[in-house]
Amino acid sequence: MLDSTVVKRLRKIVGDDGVLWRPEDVLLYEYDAGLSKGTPGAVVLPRTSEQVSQVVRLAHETGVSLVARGAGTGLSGGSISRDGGIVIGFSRMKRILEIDLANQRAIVQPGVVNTDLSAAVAAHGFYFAPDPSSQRAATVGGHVAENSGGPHTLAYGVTTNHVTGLEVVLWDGRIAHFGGKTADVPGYDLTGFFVGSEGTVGIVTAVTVKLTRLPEAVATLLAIYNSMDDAAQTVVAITREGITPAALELLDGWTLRIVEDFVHAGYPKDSGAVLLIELEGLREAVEEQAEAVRQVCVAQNAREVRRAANQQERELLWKGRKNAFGAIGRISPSYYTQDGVVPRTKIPETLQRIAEIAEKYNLTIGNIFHAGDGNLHPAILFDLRDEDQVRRTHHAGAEIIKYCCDVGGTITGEHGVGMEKNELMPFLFSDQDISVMSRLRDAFNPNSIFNPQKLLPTPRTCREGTFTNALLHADDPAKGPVA
Amino acid sequence: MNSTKTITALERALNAIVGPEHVREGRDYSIDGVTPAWVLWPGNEEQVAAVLRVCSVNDLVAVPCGGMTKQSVGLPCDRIDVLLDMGRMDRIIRYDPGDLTIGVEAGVRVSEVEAVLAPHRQMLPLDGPQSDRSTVGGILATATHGPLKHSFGGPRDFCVGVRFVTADGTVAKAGGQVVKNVAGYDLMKLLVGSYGTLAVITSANFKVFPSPKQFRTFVAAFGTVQESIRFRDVVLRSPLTPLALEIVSPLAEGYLSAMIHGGCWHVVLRAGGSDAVLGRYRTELGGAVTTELGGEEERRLWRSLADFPTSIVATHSTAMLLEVSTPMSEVAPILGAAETIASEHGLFMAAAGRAAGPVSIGFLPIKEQPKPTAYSAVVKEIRRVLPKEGAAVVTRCPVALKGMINVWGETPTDMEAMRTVKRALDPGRILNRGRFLL
Repeated sequence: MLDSTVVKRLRKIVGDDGVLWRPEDVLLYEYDAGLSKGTPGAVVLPRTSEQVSQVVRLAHETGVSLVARGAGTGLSGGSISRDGGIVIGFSRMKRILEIDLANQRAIVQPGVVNTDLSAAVAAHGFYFAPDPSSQRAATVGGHVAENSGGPHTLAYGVTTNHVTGLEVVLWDGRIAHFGGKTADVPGYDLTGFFVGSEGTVGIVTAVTVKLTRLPEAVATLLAIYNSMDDAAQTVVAITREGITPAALELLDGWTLRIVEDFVHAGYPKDSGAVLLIELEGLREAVEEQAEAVRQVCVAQNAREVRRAANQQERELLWKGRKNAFGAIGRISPSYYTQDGVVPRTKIPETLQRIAEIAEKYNLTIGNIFHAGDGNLHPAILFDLRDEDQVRRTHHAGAEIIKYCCDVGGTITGEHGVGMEKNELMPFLFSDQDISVMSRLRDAFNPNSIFNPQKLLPTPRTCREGTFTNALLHADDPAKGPVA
Repeated sequence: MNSTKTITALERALNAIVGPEHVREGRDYSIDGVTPAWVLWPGNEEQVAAVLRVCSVNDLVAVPCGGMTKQSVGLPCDRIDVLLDMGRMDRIIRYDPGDLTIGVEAGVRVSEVEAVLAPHRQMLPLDGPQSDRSTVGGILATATHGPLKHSFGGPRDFCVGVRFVTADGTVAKAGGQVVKNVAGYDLMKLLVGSYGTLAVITSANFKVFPSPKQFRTFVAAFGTVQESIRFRDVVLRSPLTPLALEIVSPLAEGYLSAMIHGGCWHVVLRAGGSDAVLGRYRTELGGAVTTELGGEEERRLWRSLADFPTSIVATHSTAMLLEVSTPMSEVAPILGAAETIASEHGLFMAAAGRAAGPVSIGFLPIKEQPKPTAYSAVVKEIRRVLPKEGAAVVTRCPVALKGMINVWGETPTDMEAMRTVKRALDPGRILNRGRFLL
């Protein structure tokens, strides 16, 4: 339990209605959309940057930890308090502060929801490009913390490519500004450093984002395959042909059948895999690319290539993809979604390897992923009540991630490291790499108040089966991760 | 570094690390009038680390260098004990066209990367000045960009991994080889544009891009900067997605390929794609286009646009060059103001750059010897009309002026937070001491 004087002081800063501390009230903040769990001592809901600053000062003084939280749609435990500290919720800081169409920028508070921002500028022909599947709930502040991606980041880049300035509260409560409407300013690119830092070096209180022009034309294709390997080879071939789709998604046969039963998106249930391919841009370019993609698919043994005839058909095809993890949640008590990335030429062999691993551990693994940039989301199904299954899931997961790293990939493409994968960082990074990152974290987080025990591995002596713990704490199958 | 005995011992230590054949006394070198004690050519990152450890322990100031194309940016260093020439670290580490990624050592020249990618119809949009001299490490350290920034962003947007050595000789990396990766802190961002003040970059991985089948360039001429910016805005509001979109002031044409002429303001647009796509550009751009270029002429024009900042100072050794960044709505007011301010101080102004910013503005003396007071007044007045979030960095001027002009100017980014980064990675300030804005 948090010291009651801390709660009292929090109430003084934000008002009585802005602090939750009773066990039944903070319960909602135990989870994110992944498998991790942790109960905060208190939740504070500030309305202004100044209030955030005072909360940080209080934490700095008392040594109580602080975890920033948007909508809690994260998948790596980034917004969960591991040590019963304070969660700063941004649900009351959701104003769009400025829309500057002439400069294609908006300045928003961290609690602004992704699709609300896009909706606010849609009439002028603009949108905010990052598009995680959780975008109807996920906040811009959360995007900044996690450097969020989504299907269309293949063509448009991830969050860091769309943020040019930040207002942040530093460890001593000071409100600092980095960059602005232009990122090309002299000095270190602290905006770029803070994006993706998972709340470990400061708390973001305002974000300057780029607005992207809506494309003139969009073509959405569904390529249907009998064999998973042909679909995987198509991804390699499209990349080799020099075509850059806006999105290129793959669902394997097992997953598409589960999805089809749930969403009725029109994925043929007797197929081995489907590719969902989207092309965007100038009308003439989209038409040519759609034809080129169709030819590549056919050459790689696609049995059929369909094209959405209108917006309604397009949305239906995407509905299947965006609700895929929800569909899996319906049929399995629990599942664990991974986020490894492999070089695109390694996709076919990686999928074969995942199939072998599934067989080796006698587990079902569904594959659904951002194929265009090699970002896999294998979903390992398990039943939490079965200890042996949990153990096998743990080993299978670790083997898949290890394989991704061994072929030149990474442990996370867009979900973040958080508390779910911080002990896996040594798969990728040497002690020296981690020591340099620690130096920077400690410089911006001198008394470890910001999101402790996240992103970087805990010192060796403290490490103990955290990865398994994450799995063991998975007990809410209804809350399926959405990727 | 005082006694002869110490100097001999240090030289012996440095010789032992890189081999005596890769150590030279620095008297033939000069960076803004500062002569290095030694020039070293390390052959690998372990040697870089060993050299930096010697520097750290003995408080030697180290300056990494590549093609020496941007060493005159910033203030002269307090002193240079070791000039670390990365030229021997020039390997292409890995390139798989199917992955659209490439890994190269810091000393590889940009033109060499282009030559490796071209046969596979791929490109790396690092189209800054002097691609045959500038190195990948240098481009990253100075956040150099060229016309393709309009569509691809700067090096911060496609550098996916980096290896580097911190001031105390720690060899480390961040990012990786794949195009999407959020594991660990994004230290690429900190190193890009840090002017060699945080670490020595030893290699980097990049996303590369398919090259369009063909290029076409459309040139439009206007009487005033306002008209040219209005045309820019028409393009930006259209469905067109040009690869590059440049603005060129009337006097800048003397430093570009002969394809730009007539004493007007010009907007130059580069497009790529099929005949049908290029046809669409023709239709949308309509009557404003005065010249359309393809083939060798077109490539030469873009080379000259990329090289514009270099050409200005190559022609006028006493010119002053400003790199001005503003939100795009401020490009026209700044260019207009720059023209007026120049003439009020008896100078010419020649500007070219990204039509949506940033732009390079050259101030040229009408007579060969400019008055220092004129330059310093110009800089002050330009900064006075800049919006709060803009920046104007003096990237070239006579060295004697650097004491009178604040070459870096203001930045909207918090200085104390920058100092925190510096203290974490180079607490002894051995890297490029005195050069940067903090």
